[in-house]
Amino acid sequence: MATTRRTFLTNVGAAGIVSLGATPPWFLTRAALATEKAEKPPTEKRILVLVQLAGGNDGLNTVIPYTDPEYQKARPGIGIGKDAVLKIGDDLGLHPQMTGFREIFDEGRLAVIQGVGYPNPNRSHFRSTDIWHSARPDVEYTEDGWLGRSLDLHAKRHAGKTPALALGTDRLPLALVCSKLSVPTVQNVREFQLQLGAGSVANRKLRRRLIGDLANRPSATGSDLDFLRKTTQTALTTARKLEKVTATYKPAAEYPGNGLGQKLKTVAQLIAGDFGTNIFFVSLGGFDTHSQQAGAHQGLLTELSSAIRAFYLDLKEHKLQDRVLLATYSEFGRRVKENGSLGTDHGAASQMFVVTPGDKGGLIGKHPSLTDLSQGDLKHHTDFRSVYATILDNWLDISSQSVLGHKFPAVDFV
Amino acid sequence: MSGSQPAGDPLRQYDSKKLGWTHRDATHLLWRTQFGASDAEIEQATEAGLEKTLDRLLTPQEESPDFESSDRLLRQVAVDTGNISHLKAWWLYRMLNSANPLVEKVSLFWHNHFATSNAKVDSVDHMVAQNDLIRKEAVGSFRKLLSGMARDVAMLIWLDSNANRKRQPNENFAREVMELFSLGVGNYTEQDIAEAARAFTGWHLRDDKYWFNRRQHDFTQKTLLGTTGTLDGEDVIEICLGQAACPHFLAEKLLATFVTPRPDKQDVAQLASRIRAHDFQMTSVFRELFGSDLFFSSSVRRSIIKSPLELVLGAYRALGNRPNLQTTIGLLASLGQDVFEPPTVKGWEGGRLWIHSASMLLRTNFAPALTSSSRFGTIDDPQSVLKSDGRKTQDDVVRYYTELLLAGDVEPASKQQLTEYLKKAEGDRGERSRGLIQLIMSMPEYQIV
Amino acid sequence: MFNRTWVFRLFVVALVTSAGALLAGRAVAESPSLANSIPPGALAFGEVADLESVIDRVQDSDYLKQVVESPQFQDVANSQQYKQAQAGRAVLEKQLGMDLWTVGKKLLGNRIAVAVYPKPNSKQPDAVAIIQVKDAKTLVDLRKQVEPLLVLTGAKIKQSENGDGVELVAINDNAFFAINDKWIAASSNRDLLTKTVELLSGEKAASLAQDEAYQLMSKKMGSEHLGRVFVNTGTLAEATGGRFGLPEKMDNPLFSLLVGGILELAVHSPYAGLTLDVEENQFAISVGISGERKKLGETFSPFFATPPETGTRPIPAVPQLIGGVTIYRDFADWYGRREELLQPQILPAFDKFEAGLGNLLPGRDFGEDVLPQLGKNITLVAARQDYSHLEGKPGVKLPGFAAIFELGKPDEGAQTFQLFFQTLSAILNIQAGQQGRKPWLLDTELYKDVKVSYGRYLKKPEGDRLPLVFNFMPASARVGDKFIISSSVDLCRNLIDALKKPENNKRVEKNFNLELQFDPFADIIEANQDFFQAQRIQQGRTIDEAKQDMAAILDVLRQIKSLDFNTTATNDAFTVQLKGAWK
Repeated sequence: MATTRRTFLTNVGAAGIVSLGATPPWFLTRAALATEKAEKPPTEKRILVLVQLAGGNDGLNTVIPYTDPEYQKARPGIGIGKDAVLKIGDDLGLHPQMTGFREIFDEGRLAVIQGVGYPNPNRSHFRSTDIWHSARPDVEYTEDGWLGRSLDLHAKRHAGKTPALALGTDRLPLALVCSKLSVPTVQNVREFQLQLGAGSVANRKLRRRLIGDLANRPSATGSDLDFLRKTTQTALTTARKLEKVTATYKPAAEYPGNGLGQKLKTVAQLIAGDFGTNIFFVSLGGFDTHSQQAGAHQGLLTELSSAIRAFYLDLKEHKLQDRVLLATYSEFGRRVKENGSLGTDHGAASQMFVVTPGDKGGLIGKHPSLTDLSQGDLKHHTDFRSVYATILDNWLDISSQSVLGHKFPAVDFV
Repeated sequence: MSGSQPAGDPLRQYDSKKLGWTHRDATHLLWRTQFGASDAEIEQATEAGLEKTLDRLLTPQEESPDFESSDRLLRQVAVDTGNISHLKAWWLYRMLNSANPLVEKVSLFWHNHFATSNAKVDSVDHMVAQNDLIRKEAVGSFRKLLSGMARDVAMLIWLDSNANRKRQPNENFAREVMELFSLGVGNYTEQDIAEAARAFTGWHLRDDKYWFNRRQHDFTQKTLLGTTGTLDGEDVIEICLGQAACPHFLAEKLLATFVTPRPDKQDVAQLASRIRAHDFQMTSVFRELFGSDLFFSSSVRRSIIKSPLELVLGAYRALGNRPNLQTTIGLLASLGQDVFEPPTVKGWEGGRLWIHSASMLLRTNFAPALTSSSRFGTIDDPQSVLKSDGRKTQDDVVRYYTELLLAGDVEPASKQQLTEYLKKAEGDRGERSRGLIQLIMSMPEYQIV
Repeated sequence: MFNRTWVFRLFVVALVTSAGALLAGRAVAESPSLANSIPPGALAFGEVADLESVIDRVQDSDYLKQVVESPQFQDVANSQQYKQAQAGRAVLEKQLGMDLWTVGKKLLGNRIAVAVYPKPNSKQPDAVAIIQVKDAKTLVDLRKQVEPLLVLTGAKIKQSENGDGVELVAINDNAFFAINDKWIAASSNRDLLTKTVELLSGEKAASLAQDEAYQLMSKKMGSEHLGRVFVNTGTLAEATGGRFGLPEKMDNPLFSLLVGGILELAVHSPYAGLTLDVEENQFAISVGISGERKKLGETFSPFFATPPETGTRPIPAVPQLIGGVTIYRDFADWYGRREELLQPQILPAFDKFEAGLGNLLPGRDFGEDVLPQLGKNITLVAARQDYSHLEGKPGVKLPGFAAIFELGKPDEGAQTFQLFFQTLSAILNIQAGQQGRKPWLLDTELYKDVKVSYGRYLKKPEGDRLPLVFNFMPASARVGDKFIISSSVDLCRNLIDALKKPENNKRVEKNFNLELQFDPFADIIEANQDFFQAQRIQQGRTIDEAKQDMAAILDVLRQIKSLDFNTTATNDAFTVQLKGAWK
């Protein structure tokens, strides 16, 4: 395992720098901040990719405390053997299929935030998903999402642009719903290319030129016509850029044929093509493994790990990996004890994976205890809103307090 | 005729006899009151004059037998299969072919106002019943409409009315009645919402019908917006309608949708007073609004950004398309306006929110799809259209299409470029005309109505 | 000229012709197959005999008149391309002095054959074609008409005679023709043409008819057909690197289940043949390959019946049957061998499937517990249903569907299926509550000593245009060693009746059978014509046009009687057959 900055600091006894909220000694912070500032790209170039694992991922079989005897006791049927796990710590290992994640972890770019949840966990898919999307566990009827609110804060800046985009979902996920902007859901990147219609090559070329010219007229600033013209120009430029990119873009990694792989491939294309979108949302479903979990969960984790690995390698080849932060989350984890059908039921706390743009990878926080449970479920120690707050404050440069309503302690992954 | 209103009153009736009634006036009127208009319709309206056209728009016109049969078949298939996309096709068919297009457009306005989504209701029967209620009172009584909505099954499902019980009132419906349906934010207090919720307790759904659940209704005293009594839901509605904020709230929305997104305070106040004077009878309100000085003033013309329905259906009507309704529904959904499935109870905000780089590209790409493919249907052959119209020269052709599609609102330099296209392009007249239509539809000006 | 061989030949021809004329409706050629005149070594060979009767029938048929008068055809007729084609046709007919129908009948009316040969060092194969005519005068006349046209094309023509009454023409040095008054032969290769001419002139040399693979095919499939095609798959396989590009393992499980064994047979078969027969109101196309299963190995044993078993059960004859599919497979064996038959990347999907199935059959393992209870035959049927479970009818009238599973272990199997049925109903009921649908109540009835379990609604639904979901009322029953799961109680009862009859229980010698009856199919389309008309309106047609479209479609459907697609696997031959009958 590569020596990350964190492990180094732990070894020299600078405890308290690791993970949540504790204020590190000022000189170390300064030094750290200095290097960070030098490394981080400008705000408008920073990208967030959110990958939802829909259905409630069984975190306990994803990051496995294989040395804990309670684990095997609770999961005689579906437990992963300690020789099978991919070790990422002294007592933790990844599910054997997640070789891709292991690679990224070894490079120091995968942060595993353990014990993430929220108080009074709700075990209904719909309600808990809404909570994760709105970041408002206390409000019953939520109409907008945390990312939507963050876009609303700077609505003027985004007017006419596409700052966020949901890829491959049927409906716009609540997380992206704003009041001041419209966020599109896109099925296919082909929708972003300028169509010129039928006819001879000369005619089409002539029309392409004229469409641009006709939109490129001056008008009274601030008027609707001006707004429309500017948006058309942006749209045409973006389409042009995207055409060039799709024509010349060679994915530098072999993306798996599965759904998530193809979606992330599109995201990579849009990032490389300078599309102008900073927030991407994709979803992988099927994690609600109530029975015969082994095969299905294995398949899903394979898909997840292989797709993200390909994405990461692709970004690396195009030198974009420092601009992208990818986070996965699920609406809840699953029960510690397996059920009678070789599966698991809805639980509470679980982990989040973050592919970090810097090098703050590693294990964050301790694995929740397998004996000190809350109604049979793992207890969380990190509120998911802390993770959101960190993303907002430290990566997207948006005030998390305005979006989330409270100040949450930061988590050290970016 | 004018007389009762003071001079300078924006709602004074537009004197078309004195000020004239041009082709462009007719175009403006039809574009705002319908989903686009064909050349023939505009000609007819120009001939008939303002009063007769308003008559046609605001009095129920008889539908043709073909329309009735098709309407019946499309509605039947939606109800039989329970598939909402068939219901969407039914409504689109009505919007395009009904002899009462204003009713359809105003129905869409109310659909947006009382935004209810099938995503939660999940029943064609309920959605079509709500749509029937809306259409019945669209250009009728807002009082009846609001009152009907409080008992409408789709609405009861949408706003969780069954959860509103005596000992645990659920404020969802009460809040929306005040915030979104009648008064607007800031014209009530949280306490008012709580009281109103209590008044609506027991307004439940049972066996797919509205049912008054006496056991769950709170019969005690309540105080709402200054009135005290053993108020129930009907009382809440009456009280809200009686507030000064109510006609004001409606006036703002009506002006934004049909007249201008940036109305003067005076315009809003005047329209609100007319709504109050007519006691929410919308026929009379619309008659005054669409016949007013304000409506025909130059500042409100070409001032609204087209919604996806106005864009797409407007193009169909102008160019004589025999549309493929299913692909049209898909296009409208990707442009952000999926009828019967508004995104939230706030509905579609409209205006500049329709426009961002992704939707702009889709709107631009719509043009070649319509003119040179059959994906959305087949438009009337431009060759025959121009021939029957006697348009000969290239200038004629450009003038025809810029009038038809842009009401002539095009800068001379742009006009020149359009003529340049006709000159330089290859192919026969029909093909070049299609290219011209595509160019006009790609202009940002085309997004304005 | 008139020597004894010729007299004899003429006599035979006359005999055969009259016999043919007497045997009305049978397409018998009046001369031996042209395979006897084609050089050996062909990669593929095709022959058509007696096209004249077919052309006659087409020309006179009502159907053609209908097509030409239909509005859709009018659209085509108004197109530029069609008008140009018609103009070209007029010129040609004028030149030839007769209309194209007659030309077709006279020229192509006897036998036509084409053969393809591999050409070394080239992707383009060589070809040989023979047209044998009945009426000697035809060729002579035609030649006179065609020659001037040929000159117009500007091609380089070289003519000569071979001394046997055969004229040889070479065009541009890459197309060679030989003509006498009985036949025309053509080839892209001079040597092939020479051999062909020799064979046609009666020389006793080796021809395609002596090829081993060809003889095999002819023996299995017969040589008296309207049309025949022979492919020497052995040679073809060699030419394309062994397996025609077919993978050893499939990547689609359904595909593998349906055609896996067949494709494997094709890869090892020395020949593939196709025959076509057209009669008064039916046609049949057969494709045959060698059925030698020993070459395949055990992996492919699940696909074919091992004697004494012959094959699948027939499709039970229920009233208003629209169609049915029946298949014979050793499902348990196939599932067990899936790692040998399928590509590794799709195997995890089976694990997911088993996990999902675990919800419906708790505690059981699919491969070990469930599949062995299943027998070797599954039949699916669709038939019009009567809606006796409703007071009225649904708005959209769907057929009733049923699946009949043969049980390997009848008692256990019936229980497993019953459990599956029960669990599924319970899950659907819970969903019904969440989605606002009406739940089913499980009930049983006794029908002719058979217990039928079914789900019914609490209150019998009433109405003339009920929601779509009321087409379905699940029912299940066990009859002997078969288990029925149906979407309609009526259909379940009819199937019980049908399955009690011995003729619906005997195994037939078919491996796969699909049948479609067009009258009930047209009936159900007609019953739902409102739905289809509405679809057409949604696609942009006016209501009158939509009605016309419907009428046209129904017209066509009612002309057809039935369609039958089946495969038969015997020890030495595997045949795929498509039969159709019209009115």
